[in-house]
Amino acid sequence: MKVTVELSGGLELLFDKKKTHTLEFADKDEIPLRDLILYMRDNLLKERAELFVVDNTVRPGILVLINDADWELYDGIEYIVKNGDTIIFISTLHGG
Amino acid sequence: MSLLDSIQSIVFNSKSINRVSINSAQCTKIDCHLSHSDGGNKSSAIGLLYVWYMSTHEEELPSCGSNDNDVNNTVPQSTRRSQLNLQDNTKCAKCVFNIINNTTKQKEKEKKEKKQQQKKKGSADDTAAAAAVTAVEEQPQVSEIIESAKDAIGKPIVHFRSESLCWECYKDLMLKKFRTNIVKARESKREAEKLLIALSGGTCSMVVAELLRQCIDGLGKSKMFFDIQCVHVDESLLYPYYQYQETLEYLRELTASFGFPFHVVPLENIYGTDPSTAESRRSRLIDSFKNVSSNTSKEDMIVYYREHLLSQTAHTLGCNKVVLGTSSNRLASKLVASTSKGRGFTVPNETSVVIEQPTNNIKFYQPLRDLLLKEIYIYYRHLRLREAPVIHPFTETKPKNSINTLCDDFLHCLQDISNQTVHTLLRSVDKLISPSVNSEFICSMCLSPLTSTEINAIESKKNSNNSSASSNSNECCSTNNSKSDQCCSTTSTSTTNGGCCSSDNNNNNSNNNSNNNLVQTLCYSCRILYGDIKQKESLAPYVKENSKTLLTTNQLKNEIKDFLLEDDQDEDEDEGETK
Amino acid sequence: MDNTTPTTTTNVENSTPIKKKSGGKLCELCNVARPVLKRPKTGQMICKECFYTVFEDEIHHTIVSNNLFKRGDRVAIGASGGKDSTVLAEVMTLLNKKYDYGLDLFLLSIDEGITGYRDDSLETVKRNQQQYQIPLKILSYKELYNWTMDEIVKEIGLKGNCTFCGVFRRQALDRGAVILKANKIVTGHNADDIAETVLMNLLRGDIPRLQRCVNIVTGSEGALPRSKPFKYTYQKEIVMYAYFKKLDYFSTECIYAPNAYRGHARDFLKDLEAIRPSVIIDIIHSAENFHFREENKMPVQRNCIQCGYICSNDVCMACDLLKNLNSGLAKVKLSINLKRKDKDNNNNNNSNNNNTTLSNQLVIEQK
Repeated sequence: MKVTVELSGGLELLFDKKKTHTLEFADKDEIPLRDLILYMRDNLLKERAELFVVDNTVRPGILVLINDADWELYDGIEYIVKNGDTIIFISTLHGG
Repeated sequence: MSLLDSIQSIVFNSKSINRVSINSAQCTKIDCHLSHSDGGNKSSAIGLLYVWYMSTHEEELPSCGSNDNDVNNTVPQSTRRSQLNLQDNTKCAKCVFNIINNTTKQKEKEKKEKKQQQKKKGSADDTAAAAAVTAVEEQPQVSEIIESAKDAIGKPIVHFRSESLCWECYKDLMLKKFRTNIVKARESKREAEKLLIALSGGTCSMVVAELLRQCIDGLGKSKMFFDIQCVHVDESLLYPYYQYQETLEYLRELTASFGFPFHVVPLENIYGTDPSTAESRRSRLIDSFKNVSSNTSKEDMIVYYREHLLSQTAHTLGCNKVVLGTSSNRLASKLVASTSKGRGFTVPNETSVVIEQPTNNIKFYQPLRDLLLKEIYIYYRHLRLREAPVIHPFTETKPKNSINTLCDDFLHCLQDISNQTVHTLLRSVDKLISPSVNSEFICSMCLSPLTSTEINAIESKKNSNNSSASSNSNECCSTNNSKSDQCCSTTSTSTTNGGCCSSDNNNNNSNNNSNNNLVQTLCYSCRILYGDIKQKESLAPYVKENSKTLLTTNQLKNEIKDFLLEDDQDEDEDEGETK
Repeated sequence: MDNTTPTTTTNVENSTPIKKKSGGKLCELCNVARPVLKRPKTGQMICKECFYTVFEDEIHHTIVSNNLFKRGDRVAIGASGGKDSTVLAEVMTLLNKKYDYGLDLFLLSIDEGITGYRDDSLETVKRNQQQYQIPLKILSYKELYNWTMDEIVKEIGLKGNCTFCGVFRRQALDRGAVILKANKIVTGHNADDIAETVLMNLLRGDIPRLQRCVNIVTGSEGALPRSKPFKYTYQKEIVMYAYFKKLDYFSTECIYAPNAYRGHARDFLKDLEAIRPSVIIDIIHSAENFHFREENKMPVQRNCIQCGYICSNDVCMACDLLKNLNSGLAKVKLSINLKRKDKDNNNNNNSNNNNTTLSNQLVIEQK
């Protein structure tokens, strides 16, 4: 499966200043969002994990969109990411 | 509105709803009852029922209890919202609502037509029979309607106040909400108002610009007539961030595409605008902030300086309103932060849609007050504007750096636990009265009204000066005082401190100098800020000027008080009381 | 007691004003003795004796400037055996003598009936009585309501038990004071407690309580006036005072008090204080300067038809809770209150545009 991850609002600075990442999981058809976030923390994140993950979910103040829709509409952290999904993380912290 | 009516009739007629012991079993009962008549909308019916129930039973909420332990009732579970399993919202609520509404209306129309036709026929028996038939047909299955209009229902993209909305509906709703706030803030005059949008380069201020553009383009409803300009206060000197030039370029392009004139005002202009001294101003600004011992005070000073520059720029450009893009999250956070800084008196004004400014007659507007950051960000993303370069990278600030960042962080966490936190806070502050701003007694730094205690302190000090000097001739006293005041304001450097002011003045606190006079004209909170500034002379000149103006006008008033007629004196006293 | 040692200086963003070199290592107030502590409130390095003096004088000033007492008043000190009330008993006896207030002081303790917590702390209060030689009255929930907190918790569980305790204690203090023929009650609520309560009430949108909680005297209409002489006193200084005076106090949290929401507010306040120590007083200052709209008037006070206690309904909260406890309904009743409050929160936004709301938020209710 292939998943696109987008980071903005300053979050990209934690991820090597890259805004878009494409992730491939050859052995899986779907992956829980929680696992994806932890995977990102462990494999993509370059610095200061605490600014991205708190209590095994994204830090409060970071907005998550699943295919451009609020993740609250899709079970939040319990969402099961499917092939072709785009997960967007936008920091709403500071600056405005 | 048949749905509402049916609920109301049930609610008001049902004897089964006991005032004290409504419970979920009964709810289910009502729920079943409703579901017969209104299939898919039963949950909203129950919602309405609860709204009604809450509004009529408010007085039963527990009202006593000790301060210490009474909160357990309301403790939200400490589960983060993101970890909750929210129900499946696969359809845009508004689309569904519109479709049902339209279908119902259509049916009613058809029914009416049928009835009229039947009336024409004139047979009484037929009418009754037909009515029975229509009654059966009257409530079509909601699910069927939805199914039939499947394509007209959008895919929801946002969870907006417990409703799932698709982009089209959301776009309309945002504009509607924005227009309501803008209209609220409009003055009755029909002529075009001049607005100045303060663009920080962040998402919120960009959304304000876009929404205002839609308003003047006549999207939504009628065209609004505004003369719009944009300003950006350049703080890059204090917050050097790597994409700054890109941000400026982006703002230029964006405002050009909207057709709004764009201005950039560097923060160092707080020390004046003479182009020849620009370089020295820059170093002066950097130095002055090196001398502030706390991050909280630094941040607050920047805000006051920025507001001062904004209002000054608005004045120069002939605008009477500055539009800010403050979201409800930020305002809630500001409420907590301001309370923590001792700004309880002025916080209602700071967090309202319209901030009354006592100087220059310029008002600050915060039309995004009702919108959550999340809602603004989702809106911005779907606008498909080119994404703005990052400003103030959030990686730079740790929450425990300052009161402001700590409050931001705290509120983000609470909002994550209960998404009502921000709204509850803003409702709290709505219950507070804003202080009257029609006063000359304003804090020299933050320009907010002073409390009556602070005003009294200024007045009594001046009075005591006068009385202690009364042995001298009045003339002498006044000349001495004005001389000293001039001295204070113009040459208030540390070297001249305690010089002429204290010796000339028959002042009780003779060891105090110009700085002390300045402190007097600051509000409680700004005195704390002032205490954090090590070198007082680095303060922006406007603060000193304000302070001087306040003291001299007040002093003049006191000096001529004896010569004023009764009426004026009365007025004077009345004013003092209302403040 | 880490924070009582003079060497611990809080991590302060606003570092204290530059130390006067001339003072060297001498107390900043008397310039004679060696300083042993840094005042949390002002950052001054002062000696023990000066600390006692400023600490007591500030409380004296609070009492005098707010006219808390009149000569001849009979004052019941709410004594729990904890640090606040122990220091309160000490300071009240001391000031009463020093400034000749002419007060009759009493210790009043409420025994909630919590094994392993209150029984131990009451021993402390009894020792205090010996030390200060003032009469002590212990009033128990058992004798007043025929329920101990242990029994209540057994009946209703840990959720909501603090509601019972709070409501019961409030009345118990009043009743105890009446038995002692006292006309005033003082409690050991300190500045930290009040600041925390201000934040809590703001966060919960509880305007009536927000209005009340900064008053130094409460409950003056009908009920006995209750005052907080420690309104402007930092908790840290109270702890220091108790530590240096070697006061005998009991320092364990109630075993039934896992209060999540207050915990958030408390942690937040601690973080704020670390950034700027004056926040506690600043928050109180803010709350004192809040001006409320007229419509938020307090509910009309009347007397409970069952026990005569002052309340805003026909039956007071304590009687109501008690009735439910005795009929075994307590759990039900409380859970309804909980739900209602929850719903209240959830529905607030909908109430404005309720006819357009199509939410599924009450799904839980239907299950």
